Amino acid sequence: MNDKTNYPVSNNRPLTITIFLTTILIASSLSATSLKLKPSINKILKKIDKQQTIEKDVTAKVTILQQDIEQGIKQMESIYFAKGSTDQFLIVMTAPESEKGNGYLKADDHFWMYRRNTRTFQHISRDESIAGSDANTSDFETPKYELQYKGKKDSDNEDIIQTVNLGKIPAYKIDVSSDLPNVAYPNLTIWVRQDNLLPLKIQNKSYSNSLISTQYFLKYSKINDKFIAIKQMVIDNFEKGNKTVWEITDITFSPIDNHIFTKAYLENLSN
Amino acid sequence: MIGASISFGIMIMMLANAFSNGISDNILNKMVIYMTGHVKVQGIENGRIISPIFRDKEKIKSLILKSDPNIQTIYEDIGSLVRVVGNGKGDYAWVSNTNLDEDFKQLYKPLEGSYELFESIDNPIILSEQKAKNLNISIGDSVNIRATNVNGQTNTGTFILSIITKNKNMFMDYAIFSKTATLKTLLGYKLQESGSFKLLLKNPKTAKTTADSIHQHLSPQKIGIQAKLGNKTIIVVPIGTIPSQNNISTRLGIKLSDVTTTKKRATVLNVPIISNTLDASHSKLTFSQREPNKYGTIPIKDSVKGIYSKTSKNIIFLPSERFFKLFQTTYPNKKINLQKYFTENNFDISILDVIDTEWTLTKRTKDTISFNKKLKTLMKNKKAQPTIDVSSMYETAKEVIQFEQMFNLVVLSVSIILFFIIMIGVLNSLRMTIKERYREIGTLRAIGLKKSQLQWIFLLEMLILVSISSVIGILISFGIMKGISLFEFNTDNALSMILVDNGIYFLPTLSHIIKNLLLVLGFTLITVYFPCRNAAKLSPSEALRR
Repeated sequence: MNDKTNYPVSNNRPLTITIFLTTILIASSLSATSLKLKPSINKILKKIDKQQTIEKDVTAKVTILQQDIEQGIKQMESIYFAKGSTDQFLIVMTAPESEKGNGYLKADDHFWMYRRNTRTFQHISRDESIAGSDANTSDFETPKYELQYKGKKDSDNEDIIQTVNLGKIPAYKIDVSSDLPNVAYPNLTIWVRQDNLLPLKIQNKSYSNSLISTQYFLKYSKINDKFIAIKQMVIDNFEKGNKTVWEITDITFSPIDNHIFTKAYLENLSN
Repeated sequence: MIGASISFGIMIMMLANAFSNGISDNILNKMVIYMTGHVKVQGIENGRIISPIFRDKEKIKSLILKSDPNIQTIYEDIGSLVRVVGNGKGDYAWVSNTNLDEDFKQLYKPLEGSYELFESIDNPIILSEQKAKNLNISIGDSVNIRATNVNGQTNTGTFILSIITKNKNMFMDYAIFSKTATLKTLLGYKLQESGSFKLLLKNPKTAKTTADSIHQHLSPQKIGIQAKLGNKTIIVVPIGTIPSQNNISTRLGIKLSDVTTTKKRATVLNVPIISNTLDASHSKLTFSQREPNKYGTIPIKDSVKGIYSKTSKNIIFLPSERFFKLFQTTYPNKKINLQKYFTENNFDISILDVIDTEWTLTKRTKDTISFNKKLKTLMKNKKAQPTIDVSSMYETAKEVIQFEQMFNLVVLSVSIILFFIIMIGVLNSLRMTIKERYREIGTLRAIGLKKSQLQWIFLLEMLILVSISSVIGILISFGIMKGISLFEFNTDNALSMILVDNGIYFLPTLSHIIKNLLLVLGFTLITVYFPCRNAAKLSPSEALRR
């Protein structure tokens, strides 16, 4: 019973320990690297919000190119005014002639559509299409991904983040969902760049998880330390063959007077 | 000649009446029913007027049914504007639910497919011949539908085309139908929930009175939820805005830090208030839900202790927004009528002033303008507390009804003018006829016929003539109606509003036949009476001389 010393002791013991320790070290170092590299989903969402939120007033020209399988190609141009501090915005259509003077205003949490021909305002929802395109009024709001969505987790309650390549760009792929009312797409799959967490592609999915549309962020521009997606493409997966490309140019950050974000201003533009 | 004129006159009246009656029937009993029902009752939450919802449909339904015996049918209306995609083609449509009742089957006749196919599958869809053509689909094909559900989220579903209908007018072509349960899933309604209620009345013309009666019956109550705090049974009540000068706020122990002040200088509570005599060590309340063995919770860890009336110490005041959001997501089982509860327990009734009602009721409106203003106000009201609106077709579909009334007025005016022109011709012909018969009158008078007898002979003669001519006129009008309705007009412009099955729709009624007969008889007899009387007054010699 007391013959512990008689147990066979391997001559390779130091080697075993070395291998064991090395394995642990490599594993922990890999794990640490992996933990370091992979941000949490919440952080990714926060970063997306932060990078796309411009606290300053913005004026820009927005060109929307709509390709509709039934109606053909239509190009629309508009001027976009946004009040950084209050999340108000105004879109005034400048082309084509049939849309010229029409506008979309967000003020005090209400969305209004103005029709120049009838000189009337109509209260609209957040998902109202801009001039019949795939772009919605909510696309022009300050993004609130962090507040609206939660990431999918595995059985260990860990965020599910896949490391993938989107084309040649290393990216993280995440699935998020929302059970909040008035969030148009309750399920999203998002691809973000690994280096700066800028979104590259977002799949918008319905409540039943069907793919509705895919948004590609084609071109970013760094203006005043902010990355602005100046060219985006939305592929309509529900009605195949339709797509919308929108491009933002002539961006300025000069202060905008509050009266711009009023119905009266929009009406006066028609005079 | 006179008989032919009378026949022509009554024929014109019959055609005009049947045509105008057809338009009324088409508009009131087909279009308006399809659009809004004769009366519509809807519940709005968070300003979402496009997605009306009743959380407790059975309660509302029973209140509506109790309100007026004039209600013939009540429909649970689940519907939404959707995008439909078929074989490479898309179109917008209004999707609505159907239970395939007899009214529906009368209105929407299958051209292809069958009711059996509709019943046998979970996700069937019915659409019109025109819609099927637009979407390039046939029976058995699938269509994808994209909708915004009651929570404002995008949802999609795949449906199988089971029936193609041949519709009576272009408005009906815009609607597509599926089963109630299937649409509830697509549009995010739970089984116990409903969209608006559409009511069909026995007498549609009294829609306003019925709407007023329903409005009265839907008068809201102050309610609370029975819940448990540890082992203690308590009542949770919604507290709304409190005027800042109201001493109730002092008695409830509301402090400035617990409230937000609105523009109107009223206070809105931020946190629950519980009595200082209650044990607040429990962080949450529990309450039973309608589903058996299911419980909901209300966190009260951020609550403040209020020093309100000691007699109502088992009442917990929950900010209204939180209270009503609970109703929207959970279904508390035990609701308490607070008016009754306070009275029975000798509680301070004045506290009821700051407690919100189960829903608010909008004021009744008289016309479309005020109804639209009301909708705008509803849209801006982002409160979770539901608002119920009752409207009749005279508000919701007033433009259509005005069109019907105007159209009928024009048709009737034209026909009456035409009728009188014809009757003036008849009058002249009669005078001439009587003049031509003076010799006959003189002879009859000479052989001893009295004035009154002579008058009666003429009147009776005219009565027989008018009756026979009228019957002939009515028969001819039926023939013309049948003939005209055989012509098909394939148009989708505004004219199609008056078309049924692509033909002009006439609806003659017995009451119109009787009215027209009486009108023609009356008019003819009055017309005949005076020349007859004048002729009868003549002496035999004078009559013979003329």
